[in-house]
Amino acid sequence: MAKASVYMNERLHTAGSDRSSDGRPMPDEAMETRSDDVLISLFQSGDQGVFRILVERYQERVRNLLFSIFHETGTIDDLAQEVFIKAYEGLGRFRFESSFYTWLYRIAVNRARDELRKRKVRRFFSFHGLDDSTEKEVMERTTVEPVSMDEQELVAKGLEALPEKYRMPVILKDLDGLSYEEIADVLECEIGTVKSRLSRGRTMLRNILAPLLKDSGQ
Amino acid sequence: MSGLSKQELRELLSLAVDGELDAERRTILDEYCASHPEALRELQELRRLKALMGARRTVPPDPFFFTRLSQSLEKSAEESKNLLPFPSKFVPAASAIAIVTFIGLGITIFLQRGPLLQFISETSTEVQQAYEKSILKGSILPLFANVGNDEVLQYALFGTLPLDKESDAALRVDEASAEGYRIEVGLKAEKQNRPAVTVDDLYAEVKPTKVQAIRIDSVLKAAREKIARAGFYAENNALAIDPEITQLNRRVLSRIVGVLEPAQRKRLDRFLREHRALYTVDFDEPPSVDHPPAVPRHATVTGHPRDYIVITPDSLAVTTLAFDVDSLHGQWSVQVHSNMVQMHRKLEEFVRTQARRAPRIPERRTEAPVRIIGEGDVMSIEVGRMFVDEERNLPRLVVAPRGRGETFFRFEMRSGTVPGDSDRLNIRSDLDIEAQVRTQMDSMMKHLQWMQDVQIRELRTRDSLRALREAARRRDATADSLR
Repeated sequence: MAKASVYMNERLHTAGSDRSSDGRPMPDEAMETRSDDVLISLFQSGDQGVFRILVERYQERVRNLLFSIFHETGTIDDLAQEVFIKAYEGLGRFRFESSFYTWLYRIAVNRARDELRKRKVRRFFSFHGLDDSTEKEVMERTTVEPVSMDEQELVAKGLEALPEKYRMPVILKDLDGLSYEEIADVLECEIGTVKSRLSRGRTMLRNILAPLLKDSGQ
Repeated sequence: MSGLSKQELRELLSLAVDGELDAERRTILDEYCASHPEALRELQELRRLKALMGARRTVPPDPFFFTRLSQSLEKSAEESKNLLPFPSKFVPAASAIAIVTFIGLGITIFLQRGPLLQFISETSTEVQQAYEKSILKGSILPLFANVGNDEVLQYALFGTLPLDKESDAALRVDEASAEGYRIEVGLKAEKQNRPAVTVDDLYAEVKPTKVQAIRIDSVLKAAREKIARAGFYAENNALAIDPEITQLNRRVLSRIVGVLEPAQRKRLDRFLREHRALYTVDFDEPPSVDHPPAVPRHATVTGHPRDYIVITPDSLAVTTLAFDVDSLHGQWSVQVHSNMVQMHRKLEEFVRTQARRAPRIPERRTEAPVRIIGEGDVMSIEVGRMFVDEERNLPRLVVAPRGRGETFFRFEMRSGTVPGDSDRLNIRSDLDIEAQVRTQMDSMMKHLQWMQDVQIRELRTRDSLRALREAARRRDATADSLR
């Protein structure tokens, strides 16, 4: 068992020692310039070491996506780890029907949704938390006063106040800059639905952050 | 352009923020915003919001992210080798769920115990019925069940044994000729107009002592056990009959004669003549029995292989079979009445069919001197005397009291040989005989001891009575002299 794990670690850390299609060893630099699809093909053909390159290529984007959703630095690393573990387990079955990063984002969004659901349940069963947070949350959900928080904190709080189905399109569009098609792919819905939810979410967020937007506009 | 709905305006504004409006829709929005300042203000706020979002705070890079990921992957690989269908970290949760489920199930069963018990009861009844029905389908049933002492006595006297009180069919044995015996099975065999004779009638005639009654009872009990394994009927149309049953009636009667004193034998002979029995007591021959009347024993041998005459619709054979009689009778006891009648009807039909077919099959003989013939509704099996008397390797024990009041028994054993059998079989048979003889000798010794005790008690009682009579006589004499 331990021997197998060591072997896997070595494989994950030695992407540069792999060989190109003509059989010659491929240097790290050459590998890192390869596209996602090429790396995935190598992974599927047994070169598990290329996974490291994919992780390094997307780890910050995944972490920032999760941070946009949860705004907690303590949680996002664990969640990001789980996202990449899931990607590692599923990469062998990847069928190139979408780009790797939308597939990875889909995993991340689904994991985030699960976490949000769990937290909702946990909050439901935690009466102390309920007493402490509901009133506060209600206040925050109504308006966000730019008194002691900076703009980014206010925006984060505003996003947090959005229902999950409106929050995701806003984050993916305005924070990560994905196209409508990519968002539809990540969220597994129609483009029209994405546009509708995005417009609705923005309007809701604008209403929540109205004082901030007025201040910054003056 | 005041005709834009709130939703349409919202979507146009959102598209405008993303720069996704085509020229036509941009014109529409521009014209709308020109006439609606609040729409223009909303567009500006949305652009400001997007700018704020774009300038979001990002998390600092984590240089050890992949190191920790590879450790997590290693752990995940170990967990994937876990035999449980879930990660080991969920074991406590799974245990808790299992306990809650168990308790919940227990409470549910407790609350629903009434309907559950009813369900189990109904199910067990159904199973019992299915079991009973399955017995009748293809299983082996004893021909003679619930045979009592009265039936055994009637069989000894008349050679007729009804299959069952409810059945019209019976089995009858007869010493057909000097060459052999005949076993008849069918309706005709039952239609012998014989008077019913009971053991009480016999006792009333011969007036046996208590000891004699015990010995006669033991003879009848042993005969009951032999009758229980004398015949079997299989649902798949096969009949197995023990050829020894041909001699059983005479042997039973001989043993009863052997128990009785000469005066009682005369009374028994009169009893047999009055009831037109098949046998009479032969006073020329000293009474001899195959087995000494033994003290009743409860141990019975079941499953001991014996030679049976087996009759199927198209074959006749003599073969060695071993029946577990106790088990078969146990099954018989769970039969319902309707099933018994059904079985007997099937057997009667089988016998009738055999009786009709037998005359047309003249070659229905086995290597043993056994053949089957038919007449009317009765199927007859002729068994050669040689087959029963000589070819059977059964011990023939003759035990007779030497004289009245003597407590000594003459013991004689005659063992036949089995033609064609190996020496090994003969040796085994001799060992069996020896074991049987030892058992019987033990029984006899116990019985003799018991008889001595009885006699001593009788003598003491007699002495006591004599003494009492003497005392009474003296008292009367004294009284007379006083007068």
